[in-house]
Amino acid sequence: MSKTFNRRDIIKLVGGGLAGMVFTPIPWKLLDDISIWTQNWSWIPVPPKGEINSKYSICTICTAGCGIRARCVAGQPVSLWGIKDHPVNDGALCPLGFGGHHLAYHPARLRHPVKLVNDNNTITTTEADRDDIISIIADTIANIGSGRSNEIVAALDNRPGRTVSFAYRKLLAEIPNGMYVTTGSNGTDSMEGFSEITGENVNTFGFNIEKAKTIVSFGAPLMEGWGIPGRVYGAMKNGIHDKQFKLIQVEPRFSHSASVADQWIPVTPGTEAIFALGIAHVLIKQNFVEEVDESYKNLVAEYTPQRVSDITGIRRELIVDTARSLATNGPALILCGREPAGGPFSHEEQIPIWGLNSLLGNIGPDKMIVPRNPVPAGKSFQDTELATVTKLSDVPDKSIRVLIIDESESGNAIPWQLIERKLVPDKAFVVSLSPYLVGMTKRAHYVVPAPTHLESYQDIPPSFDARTATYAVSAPMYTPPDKVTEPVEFLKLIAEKTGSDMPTGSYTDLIRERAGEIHKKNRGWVYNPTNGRITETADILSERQFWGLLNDGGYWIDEPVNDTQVTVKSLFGSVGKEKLKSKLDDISRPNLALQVKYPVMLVPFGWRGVVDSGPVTPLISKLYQESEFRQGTNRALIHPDTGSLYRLRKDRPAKIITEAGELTVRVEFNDSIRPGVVHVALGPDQDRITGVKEVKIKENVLSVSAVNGHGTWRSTPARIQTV
Amino acid sequence: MNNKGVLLFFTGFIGMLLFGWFVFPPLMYQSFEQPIQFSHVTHTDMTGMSCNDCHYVKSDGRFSGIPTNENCSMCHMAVLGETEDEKIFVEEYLMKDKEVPWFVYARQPENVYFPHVQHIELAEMSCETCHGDHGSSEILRPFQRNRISGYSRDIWGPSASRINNPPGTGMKMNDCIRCHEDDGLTIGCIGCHK
Repeated sequence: MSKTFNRRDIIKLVGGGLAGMVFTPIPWKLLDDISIWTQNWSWIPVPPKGEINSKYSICTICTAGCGIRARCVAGQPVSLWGIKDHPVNDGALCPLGFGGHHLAYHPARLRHPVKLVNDNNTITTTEADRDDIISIIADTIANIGSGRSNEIVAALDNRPGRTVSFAYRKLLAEIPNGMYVTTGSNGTDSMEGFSEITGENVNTFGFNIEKAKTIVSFGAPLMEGWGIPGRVYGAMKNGIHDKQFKLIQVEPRFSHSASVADQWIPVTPGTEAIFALGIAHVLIKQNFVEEVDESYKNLVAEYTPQRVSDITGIRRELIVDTARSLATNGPALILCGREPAGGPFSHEEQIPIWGLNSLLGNIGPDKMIVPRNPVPAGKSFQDTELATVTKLSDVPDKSIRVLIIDESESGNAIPWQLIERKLVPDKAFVVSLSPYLVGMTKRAHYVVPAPTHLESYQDIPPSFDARTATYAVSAPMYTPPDKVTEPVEFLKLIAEKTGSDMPTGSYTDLIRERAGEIHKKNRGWVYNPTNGRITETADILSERQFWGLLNDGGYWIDEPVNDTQVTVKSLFGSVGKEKLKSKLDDISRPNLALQVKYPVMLVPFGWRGVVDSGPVTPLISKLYQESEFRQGTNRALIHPDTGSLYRLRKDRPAKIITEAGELTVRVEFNDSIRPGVVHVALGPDQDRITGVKEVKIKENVLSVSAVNGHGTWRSTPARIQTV
Repeated sequence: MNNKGVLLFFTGFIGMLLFGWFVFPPLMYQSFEQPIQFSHVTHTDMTGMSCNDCHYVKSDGRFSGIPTNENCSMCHMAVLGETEDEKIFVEEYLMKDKEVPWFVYARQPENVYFPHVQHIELAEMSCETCHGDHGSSEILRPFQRNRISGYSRDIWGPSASRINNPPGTGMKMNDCIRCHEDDGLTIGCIGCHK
């Protein structure tokens, strides 16, 4: 044995030591401790230590208005829960809501105004001055006002009915060519057919879901966050006891709602309206309906169960059985829904679907579709001119010169194409009032960050499906960063610069003023989450007391409307018989020439809350990236037969080609999908966690979907091939 | 590899095993004496008090945690007994209205929500299930703080390997999960990480 100690000996000694280390706690303990250490870096926000208590409020992430209880340490929320027995969510909360208190620290959070430069879909940001942005807007308004242009100054609001919505309307009424624009993505776009047949404003109607024994949902994602989440689940849960409640889901894809429903009817995409006519045919022919207009009878007579079966792919017996269920297991409610990513049905398609409610006598006080009172505006917005509400699809193409996007999200998707076509090419100036650099905000020229969830007072008008008017206020729990601007303050600065008249009070004052108007009505009740009691508004003596209750998470619920009669004007809607018939004929007779070029049908799908422009919370990544409980962006669900036909392979990329462009997707085979249909998922914006210095715009299914003039994009003819 | 090589390899191997199992674990922790001593057994055996006389669930469901001066002052308005720690407690803390800065053996990270009320009242678990025989201690042992993570050694448990940790020791997530699984309870991430 050599007595010298050389380099090789050292390596052997160290090698032995390293091998031995694996059998000691050293690597495992160090790994564990270091991972915990990384959770405690100084720049990671940690709530201060202090007294633990609870605050009650309302979630503002979407339009539902769920009650939340915040567990606060030293005044700062560290966790959010749903409030048990709350009239909206009864203790439940969605994954976004559970993580709502994280949003103030989101990596994509903007803390000062920024200018965005788009270089081939790579967005870089530089800090901007808010006053400069206001000057640009004011100068453009001045140019338009001097008569040199017919171009429009618009504000896009996805959540109309809030106090800030009235502020937008007030400013836009003051300035030349001002236009207040909404998308209907809050759910009202799926009630256009109802508006067509009744001539009524959809904002003054809601659904009596709790009274229904049968609900037929045409594509409404009832179990996936539709309207006020949990209402249908609650009706179903109550119905289980008496075994009478029945949910029928009419939808091409085996969605979560379809899987929970008592019956799933997998219609061919785009033929839902024909299926509705088939039901109407049976209802009329089997004398389940008393009085029907002769011309409507004539239209419906063409849609025999056999013909409808041929078009929709649903057995004729099932069509007949569904109609009988509606007639015999009443009261029955027929809902027409919006797919969160796929958008609404066209209003022509909606007319026969909502028409079923008319045939069943469902519309009116104490029926299935009930009138409700509007929530009064604040005093500052009464007896003053407000811009009318214009639907985005009704805005002339290439007409908007200045667009202010309010980024309070509805939870549902709007394709950028729909907005882009309305902008004046190359000259449009887009400002987003968003707390985050995500989604649609990446398309803006400037962003003036707004306060995020729980950073400022916000008011919550009723969800589109609410049975009665409701109102609630979300009081702040955080202080927003210094350079964050409340949208109302931004509007007031524009008004100041343009010499327009705007209310002088702060946003909080304006919300309080509105609460005061509601109190004055002396109607309804207030649910108090701190003790679970319900107090009559008439028993709340002062406006101050009413405001105090709302500040503590109180929820005002109006009385039902019992004295308004609703008449159905025409089952053809304002569209008229001929035009409606022509549209239905188009659906019934597929375009064979187009089918040769584009043999498959592309249908987007997604979950409410993650398909819009809003930020996602950490729980969402659990549902998508880690567990794949939900399909992420650009996952394509395809029937195995379709896959074989086009030689597609599981988990391999494939290319989808449409008139609008190309998209690479990842293939997932699913037996429940109809052959010839490709459902492509729209999931969370993956760029939402990359910060705010440089972000990319990535293509998704909305980029290649055909968005028609009426603002629908539910299905698009496409080709699919291997990459 | 010749004999010398084998010998060196095993020297390194055995040396590291000895270091890893006997030297490394104590190095990971820094010891701190509690500001004053406190005897649980004096309070339970001599006065007949039980755990929940001082550590109780409040009417709103919150857990009181470590008692504050307000609780202690009900009995310790003046110095009781002859110990130096009692004197310090009364004169330096109670009389100066200053809370004792105890080192908390069971403090969990901020991202964990642990409802005592559900475990004590709903699951009817005893304090010893998680806290071991702490309630019958005569003195407060030194608080051992992990030099990297900053948390108490009680979270990891006394055994460096976490193998054969005695019952009532170890408060890591796996300990919670194991106990829940043993009782047939399932719980998602948001059960504790709200």
